[in-house]
Amino acid sequence: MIDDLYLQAMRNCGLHVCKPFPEGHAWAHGVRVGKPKTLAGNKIFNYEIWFDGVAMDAPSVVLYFNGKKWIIAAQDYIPTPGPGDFYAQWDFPEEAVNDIWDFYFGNPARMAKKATAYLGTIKRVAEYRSYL
Amino acid sequence: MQGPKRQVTRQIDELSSLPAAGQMLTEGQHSEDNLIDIAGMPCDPVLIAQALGPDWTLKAPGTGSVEDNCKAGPWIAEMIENNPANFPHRRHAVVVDEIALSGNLMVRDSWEGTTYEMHPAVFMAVWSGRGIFRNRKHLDLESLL
Repeated sequence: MIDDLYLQAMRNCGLHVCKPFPEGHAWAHGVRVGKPKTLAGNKIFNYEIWFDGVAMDAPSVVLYFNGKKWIIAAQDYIPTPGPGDFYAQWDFPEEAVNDIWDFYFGNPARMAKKATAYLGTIKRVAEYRSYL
Repeated sequence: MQGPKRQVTRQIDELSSLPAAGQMLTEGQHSEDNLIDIAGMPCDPVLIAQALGPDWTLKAPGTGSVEDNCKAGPWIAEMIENNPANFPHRRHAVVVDEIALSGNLMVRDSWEGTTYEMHPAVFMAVWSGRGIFRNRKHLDLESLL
């Protein structure tokens, strides 16, 4: 269970925090976090995912506790991790929350890797759409 | 409400459940092959949603119920392996068609090319929270026709 203190800390930064995953889920009591488009910070040009009717301009991450560590799962690709995807693990929840803050508002290196992957493929998607 | 019987695609590659789901979702309008060519394998659902066109959007409807999610018609759900192992959980994509008369979700799964029912609580325990949904704007326009 993530203490509400940490969820509120992320909300105070303007991040969108979804309701926790249910008991029995692989990410039980974990949450999906995203950065709204209206918020300054690291983002990907023309990227869009909607949470509860709010547009996000960057990939989401999932924060959960696996019984030993606090895990940040930043995997967008299905079924296995793809370019730019990463997992981070921390001993304490405040470290994990700080790392999420860093992903969205701090060092842009990890977002840049995701942007490179996205923008590299979106050109092919645009070409495909133009032929239809 | 029980809808029409829909085609089930059997995925052509271990990594292609999402493109296969895209083909099923659009009833073959976009082929699994084409979606693999443009988005690769593994692939990012935000790219598949864009490839399917402006009627489709990647969403994480965190506060909605399963019934709400099915209101806009068939959608692609990202599933997650439910195991306690301390390594990345493998993902999978399926098409959720509707709520059956039994109250279960009707699922088309490309892994073995099967259709099955899934209890909503079981579904919620393996759903990642992300999905590709038909846009409400599209639905509003359809209702005017």
